[in-house]
Amino acid sequence: MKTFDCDQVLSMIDDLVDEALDEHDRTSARSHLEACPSCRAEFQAATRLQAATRSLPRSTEPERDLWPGIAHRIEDRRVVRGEFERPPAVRPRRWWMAAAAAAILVVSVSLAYRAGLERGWPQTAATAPVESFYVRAAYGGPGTGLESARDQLRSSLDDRRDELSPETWSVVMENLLVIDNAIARIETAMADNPNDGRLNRQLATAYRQQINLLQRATRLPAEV
Amino acid sequence: MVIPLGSNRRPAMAGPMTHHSDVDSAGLVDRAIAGDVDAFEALYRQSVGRVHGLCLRMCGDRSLAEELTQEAFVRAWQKLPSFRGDSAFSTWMHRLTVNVVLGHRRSAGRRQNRETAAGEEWYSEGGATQERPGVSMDLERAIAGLPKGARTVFVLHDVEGYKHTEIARVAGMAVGTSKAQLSRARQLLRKALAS
Ligand SMILES: [Zn+2]
Repeated sequence: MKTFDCDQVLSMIDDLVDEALDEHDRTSARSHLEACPSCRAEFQAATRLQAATRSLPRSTEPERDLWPGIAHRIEDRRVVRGEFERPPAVRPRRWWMAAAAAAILVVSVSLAYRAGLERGWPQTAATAPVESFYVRAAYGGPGTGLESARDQLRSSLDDRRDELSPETWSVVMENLLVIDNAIARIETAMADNPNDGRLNRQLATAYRQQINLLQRATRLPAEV
Repeated sequence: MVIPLGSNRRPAMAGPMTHHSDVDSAGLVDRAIAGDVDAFEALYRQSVGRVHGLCLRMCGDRSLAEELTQEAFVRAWQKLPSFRGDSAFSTWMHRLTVNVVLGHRRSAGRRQNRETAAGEEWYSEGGATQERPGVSMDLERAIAGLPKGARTVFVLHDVEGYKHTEIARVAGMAVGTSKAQLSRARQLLRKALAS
């Protein structure tokens, strides 16, 4: 059996407590502890610390409800909020209207969406100063520019809700949601690469897609 | 109609950091990915205690911990589409929170100075959350008083059960540094508790 001196044993205390020593070292260290009161005291203190640490609660409720602040920040940045009703079975009188809306909207959105995810977004819309736009989008401030243009359009669309059939409304909302999800994905990628120019352009393009979609939707003829 | 929803998610596996409610979270996660804020709120209610506890212990400042907790959930909402369901939601959320806290520290903004160095800020009011026995209060205070690097490694390793290799990866340090910081933290805590 090896013999350890105090310095050696003190340097092994963590491993001893963690049970990370091989059997030989453990036996040798233990026999030192039996003979040496000062190392033993240190070892006991380490054991007590470990027990106390293990009994700490890992959960601590905050003193105030943090949800409203979170909800404010996430809802602020989404166009599609909460639930929107699913279309009922399409009623004959209006089926063509919903179908027309779907045709206009889905084609442009799904093309943009696929192009964006697989090959990089088309850059046609990236004429705005992207840098300053991104700063606003990233920090979610009450920005001017694309984000607030989009939000204004969304609220004018909300005003028209009664004039549109549930079918049309649903088509519009589902398409907005597709772009919301695309934006979320771009932002996920941007969290790791905030200065990536291509991602910045993709984000700007996604916002513009939503604006475009909202502009068309607000101009749809009244159905109800 | 193209609506990307979370694809077939495997049931949550039981693991050391798995919360019992994870079995219910998979459906909530799917709904949250599809934009359902109410489902996300339910996920928040399930996991806020763990997230806040982790933030508080890692940064030692009550208001900063609240801020980082909110930041972690906002980030989670944004990143949710990339959650693949191959770990439990609570585990994913836990790691994301660690990244938020460490990222905040790295960004070295002016707020960094709010991290307590003396460990007197949030425990001095006397157990604001619940009655806690003396030893654990002393220990909390001593942990909050550790130097940042030592505190980070101690909390992640000894309280949260991370391995040194994992700490090295998330904190961007060498495994040897992580071990050295842990040993330093334990020594300082033993000394603090003995006095
Ligand atoms: Zn000795």
